[in-house]
Amino acid sequence: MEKYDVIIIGGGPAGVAASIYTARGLLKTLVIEKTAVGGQIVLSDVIENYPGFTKPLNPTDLLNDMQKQAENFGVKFEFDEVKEIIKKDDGFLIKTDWDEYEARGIIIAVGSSAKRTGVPGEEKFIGKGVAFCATCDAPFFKDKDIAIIGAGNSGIQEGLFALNFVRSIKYIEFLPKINAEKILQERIKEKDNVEFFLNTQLMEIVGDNKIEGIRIKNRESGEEKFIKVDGVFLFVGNAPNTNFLKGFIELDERGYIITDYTKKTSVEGVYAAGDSVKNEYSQVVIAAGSGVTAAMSLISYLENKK
Amino acid sequence: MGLLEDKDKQFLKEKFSKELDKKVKIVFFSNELNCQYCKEIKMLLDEVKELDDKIEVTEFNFHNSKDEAAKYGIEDSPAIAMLKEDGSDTGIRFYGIPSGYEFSTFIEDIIMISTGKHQLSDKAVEEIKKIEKPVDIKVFVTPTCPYCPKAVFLAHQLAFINKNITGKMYESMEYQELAQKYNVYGVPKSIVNDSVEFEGAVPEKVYVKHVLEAVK
Ligand SMILES: Cc1cc2nc3c(=O)[nH]c(=O)nc-3n(C[C@H](O)[C@H](O)[C@H](O)COP(=O)(O)OP(=O)(O)OC[C@H]3O[C@@H](n4cnc5c(N)ncnc54)[C@H](O)[C@@H]3O)c2cc1C
Repeated sequence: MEKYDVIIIGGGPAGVAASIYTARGLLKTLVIEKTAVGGQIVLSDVIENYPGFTKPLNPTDLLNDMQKQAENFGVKFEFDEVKEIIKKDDGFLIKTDWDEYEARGIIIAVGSSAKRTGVPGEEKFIGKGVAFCATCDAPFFKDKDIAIIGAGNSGIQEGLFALNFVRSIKYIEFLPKINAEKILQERIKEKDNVEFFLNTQLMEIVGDNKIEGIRIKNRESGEEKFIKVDGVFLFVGNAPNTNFLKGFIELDERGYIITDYTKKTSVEGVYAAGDSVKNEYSQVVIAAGSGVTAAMSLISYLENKK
Repeated sequence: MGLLEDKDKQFLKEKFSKELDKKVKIVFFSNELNCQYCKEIKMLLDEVKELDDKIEVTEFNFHNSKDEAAKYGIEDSPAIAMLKEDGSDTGIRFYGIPSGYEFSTFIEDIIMISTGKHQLSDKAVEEIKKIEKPVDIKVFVTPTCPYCPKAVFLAHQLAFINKNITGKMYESMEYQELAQKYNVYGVPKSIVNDSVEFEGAVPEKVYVKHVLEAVK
């Protein structure tokens, strides 16, 4: 079994940024990632608010460069899903789908994933008209009408991209107002094929073999309505990927990891960073910074332990 | 105007001159009747060919070259088949343009074929080499899908190490009817021998498991 000083779970911005610091601390570092390096941000077609870049960046390029930077300092990457962490006398045993690893310290940076709404019809149409990534799947709705559920930052950002393909967008937003960066709001409001239904709840995704439309309800008047759409994109917020950590470290009632300001969790030697941690704004620059805090805390913990 | 930017050309030129070993033969089946991106594919291949003389490109008209198409089992066009220096088939296919994120898969394929080096784990190689039945892997993508190259390159690597396997990328806009037939509305979607299908960029081990399931 391979032994590491530090194992980082999750290869999004938090995990990769952390790995650069632990590797530069000359700690033998492994990042375990279950899909591809990059995390959620690669689902977006651009990132414009990461400081230090004057042009909109391709998130995949940004994260690939972060990975290369980490590899230059000796970080290793494994592609597998972590299923369980077990505390041992002098460190931790990490079980993945296929392997086991040992580490003296751990940083959890598992981020979060798009939440589902649970309305009737949703489950049945996932991958068949219900989607979570407009950047990936909007081309399938060329010249068609789509609904975007959730008018937050990701919903608006992804809608702006989808407009390259689709004929129209109907936004369904639970809150009485649009909750996205002002600059994004201005850009989407300029479009004439975009319509907003605020203070409105999605009730059902309707159709037999393909989506015919959605049923929505105005939360103030209670009035229900059917709108014809061919596809539904969900951006209704996120839930942390922390199911496998239940019983191992302290989580809040929604599953977010509880840490102190040094990013230490309830278990000694285990730190956490990024979107999976309670009370973090979901932004790449914050996830990266949070990863670095966790890394520096873990470095000093391991040094003091020696 | 070309498709590749000058700085990317420069980068690739240096990369190829450092890394390429043997020649790589690219066979392109075009068709002028109903091909959305044939002009772009041809342009792209010409630009890539210019980057290193170890890269060779041959073009056939799909409708007039039935024998050549049959030789590589090409059922439709546009299609690209990738061959080794000695002309032997790698089973690596691109149905539709390898652009956007898939351009990086195309480059990785060229390097893999030229150097013989893949990135699969020993365990995966051992399992995959045992397969003796024909395996057809279709991976549906869109050029804007960031997770897709991972699935396509895995399928291509499996094809590369076992000649019973064909790994095909399908660009879903070019192959709209086929995408509809297989009910593709989300990418990447991989379909093995028309029997096992799965979505997403799964880790190598999970991918291999799905492929083995299809030949059981
Ligand atoms: C559509 C969209 C647009 C966005 N736009 C912006 C923007 O413009 N600017 C900005 O700053 N932010 C943006 N964000 C937010 C940003 O993506 C997140 O804040 C950031 O990615 C969080 O980083 P992270 O490393 O904490 O988590 P994540 O990016 O979620 O990465 C976590 C990683 O851990 C992996 N993982 C999970 N569980 C396991 C496990 N058990 N084993 C192994 N690996 C595991 C996951 O596969 C994932 O790759 C956007 C998000 C979305 C969805």
